[in-house]
Amino acid sequence: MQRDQDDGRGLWLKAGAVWIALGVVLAATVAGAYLAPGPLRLPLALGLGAVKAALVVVVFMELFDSRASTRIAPLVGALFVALLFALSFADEATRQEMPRSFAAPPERAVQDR
Amino acid sequence: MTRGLHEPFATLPRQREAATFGIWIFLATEMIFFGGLFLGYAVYRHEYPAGFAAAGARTDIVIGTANTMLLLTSSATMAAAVWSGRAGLRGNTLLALVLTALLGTGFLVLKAVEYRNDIDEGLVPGSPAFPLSEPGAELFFGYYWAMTGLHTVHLVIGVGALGLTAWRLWRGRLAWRGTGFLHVLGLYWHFVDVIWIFLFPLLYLMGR
Repeated sequence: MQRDQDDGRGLWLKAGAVWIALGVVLAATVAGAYLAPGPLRLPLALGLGAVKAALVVVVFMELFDSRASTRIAPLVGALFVALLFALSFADEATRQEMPRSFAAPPERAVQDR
Repeated sequence: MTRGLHEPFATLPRQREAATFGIWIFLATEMIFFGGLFLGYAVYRHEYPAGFAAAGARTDIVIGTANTMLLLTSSATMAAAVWSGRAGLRGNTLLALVLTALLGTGFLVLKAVEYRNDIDEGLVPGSPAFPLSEPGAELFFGYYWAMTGLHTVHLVIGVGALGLTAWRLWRGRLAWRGTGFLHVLGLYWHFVDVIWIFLFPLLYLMGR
């Protein structure tokens, strides 16, 4: 019974320690959105987001404690998301010109008149 | 027969492995599902950086940050529930599950307040009262509503599952010792948290 109580305290302490780390990184994320130089804000915010996600995935979701066959599932998911982004931005990032806005009147309408 | 063991599994450890593998496959499909929305957001942000910055500055950063902290806290209590279950601590597990459900409910209440304020301010794509004229600002709010809306649906399901699990545990109707039940529920909850971790900077920190 005494052992059970000790186990209980230990696991709350572990969860609490990760929670404090998550809170600190969140505070840094919000501060960075106001204080970091403009072009760095998005990569910084996403980088700190990745740190928070890594803490949750590694400690709370115990991904690396599971079997290799289990770890393959999220890896395949991440791979497909990477493919989705890579193929789409291979087009988007290399286009010379895009319509300025959906709201702008198409040029064809002007020619028709 | 061991309580909680089901066909076709010979032992609880094998059943646990299968359950963990199964939920991770589901979460992988969810990654691709949300990935499509993140991709759409990324393409249009690349296209309309000024419109996205102007629109991002109109979301409620106080509620957004508070909600992020609520979800991060709920992940910690969820982890405590899973670890308590593994250690055989029924009371601790029940307490942690209830705390997680309450934190999730708190998130939903704050989100409802935020949605009401957004609607009052006309921050709805297609609304005649939409306050921004920059190209792409309405697209930003299209993604804001779609992404937070889908996330909220996932959270409602999670809170429901947590409530049901806590109630069954309290009534002694849940085979929680040695089964993968709590871990699988925890993985779903943490995943919903991870999605929010990436939604937060994209929807609340742009244009500050």
